[in-house]
Amino acid sequence: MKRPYIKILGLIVVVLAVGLIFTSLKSSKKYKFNKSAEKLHAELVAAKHYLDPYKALEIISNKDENYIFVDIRNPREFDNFHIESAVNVPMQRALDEEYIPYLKNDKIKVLYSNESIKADQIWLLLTQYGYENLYVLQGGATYWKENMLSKDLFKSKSEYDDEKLKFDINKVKASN
Amino acid sequence: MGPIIPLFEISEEINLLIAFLIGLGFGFALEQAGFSSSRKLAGMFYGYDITVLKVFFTAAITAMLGLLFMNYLGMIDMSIVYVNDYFMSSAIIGGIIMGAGFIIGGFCPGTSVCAAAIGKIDAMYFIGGSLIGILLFGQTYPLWEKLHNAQHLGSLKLSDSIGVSDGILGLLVIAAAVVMFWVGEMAERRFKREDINNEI
Amino acid sequence: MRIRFVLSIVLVCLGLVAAILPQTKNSSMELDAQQLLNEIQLENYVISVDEMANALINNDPEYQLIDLRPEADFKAYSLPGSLNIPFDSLFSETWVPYIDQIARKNVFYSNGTTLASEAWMLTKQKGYKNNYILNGGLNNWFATIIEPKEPASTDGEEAFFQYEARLGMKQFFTGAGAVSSSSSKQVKKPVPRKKKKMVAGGCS
Repeated sequence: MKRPYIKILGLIVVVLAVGLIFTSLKSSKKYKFNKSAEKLHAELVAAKHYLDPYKALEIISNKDENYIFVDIRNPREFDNFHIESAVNVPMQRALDEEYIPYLKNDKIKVLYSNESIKADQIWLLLTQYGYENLYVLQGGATYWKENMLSKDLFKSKSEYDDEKLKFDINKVKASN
Repeated sequence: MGPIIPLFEISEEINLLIAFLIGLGFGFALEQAGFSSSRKLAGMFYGYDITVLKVFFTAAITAMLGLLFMNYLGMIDMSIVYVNDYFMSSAIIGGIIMGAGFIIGGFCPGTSVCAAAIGKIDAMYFIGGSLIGILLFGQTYPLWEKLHNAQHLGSLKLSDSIGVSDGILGLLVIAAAVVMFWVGEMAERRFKREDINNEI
Repeated sequence: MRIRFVLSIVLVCLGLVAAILPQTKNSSMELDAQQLLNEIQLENYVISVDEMANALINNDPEYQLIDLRPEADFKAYSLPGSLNIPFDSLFSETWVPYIDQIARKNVFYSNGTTLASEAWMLTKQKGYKNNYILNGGLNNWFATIIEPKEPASTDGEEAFFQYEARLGMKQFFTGAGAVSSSSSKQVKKPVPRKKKKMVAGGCS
């Protein structure tokens, strides 16, 4: 072999070229998250994304244009009962193209579901995906239907917060 | 593109079959490099033949560069690649024992199986000896248990303990390997043994 | 000799390229938004309080309860055998081996369900497996197991069996009110409703 090193160089060039072709084929995930889990965790610890139903009632009575209420339940439940002036973005299709204008705008969107758990999960999903100005209505549609539509507004104020301990621990222990 | 073959997506049998095929390739490569000859292997220690150094380092460099590039291209996920646990005292003592055995016997465990496969009787004795050693170790394990598990440093990577990134460590290893190859070649010329070099 | 030079230079060049490459952290295990949305809707990650109580009574080693509340709340009252990982240190180095493992099923719980489902979402997105949520949290636990509601007399037999079971669980967990068989209310068999006869006659 007269010039063996040319063959080796050629081989290495071929390998690098193949590698470059692979780079261009590297498919990015279509629905990639924009925020890392750790960043989202920090936001959750701050817990500033909850909106209590009494403030929400004020917003609706004042017809504040900056807020939209977004119902994430399925269309049947939406037709059955929804908070007035709310729009319906079913959560199964929350990432679809047709709902992007509902979520990608400058207004403040308040998500709600039957309780607050599903709304909170969808809030997590959409915030990590990159949408902004999202809030979660505490208590959800159930609390709203039972308490906010009547004139008698000031009973059971703390029950819309899912994370408040409702039982007296000392009472439980004393029953031993 | 994701991981090339995520291990939990293929069945156990395919996993073992792939391991078997890789093993066939490994044995073939060792034999082609001439590692079934104990004189070639022992030459590493006497200085007249540095094939062992070259083969092992080029294998390490190929694997290292392959992993680094594939990690960059997203074809392999380095964060889930298994890194062995490191027990410092066991590694040092085991290394000394294996080095002594290598020089005395002229084989290391992998190449002894290779040589036994082509019919060399001293390789078969070597395998028998290693099996007896394993048996003795197992039977007297309570004596060694504390030493065996001493200085457990976890899944440590050299790049983490020095504090450099994986890529820079790769460059250091390549630089060290190239230097060693040149120095080894000089040693070969100095320690050459024509009577052996002409036969292997 | 020449080939040696060439090879050395090629190797060192490859090494330089490798050194320059940024060390990207590959997240092949993490889920993307659509996958996480599908997982949310499966709803197979919720464990009811009855199931959890049964597991605790039988000393089932499959489940590991994880309390997400702050330490003070944990010390005041917690479910037996539970581990305290305060929510704000969920991703700290000490606790990652507990949530990123495949040996036991982690059941997150808090006062309600919100904090637990948030922790579940975060760990699911990172690709950790075996994380579950206790349905309703401690509020539901108290309402169901510690102070079970007596079913109304018109409820079916099943409701009464469940009530009896929960009374037994209450005794197990609080050691209170050992209920002797004579003082327990008799399980009333539901009276089969008499079929109303069709109104005969009149306009049809």
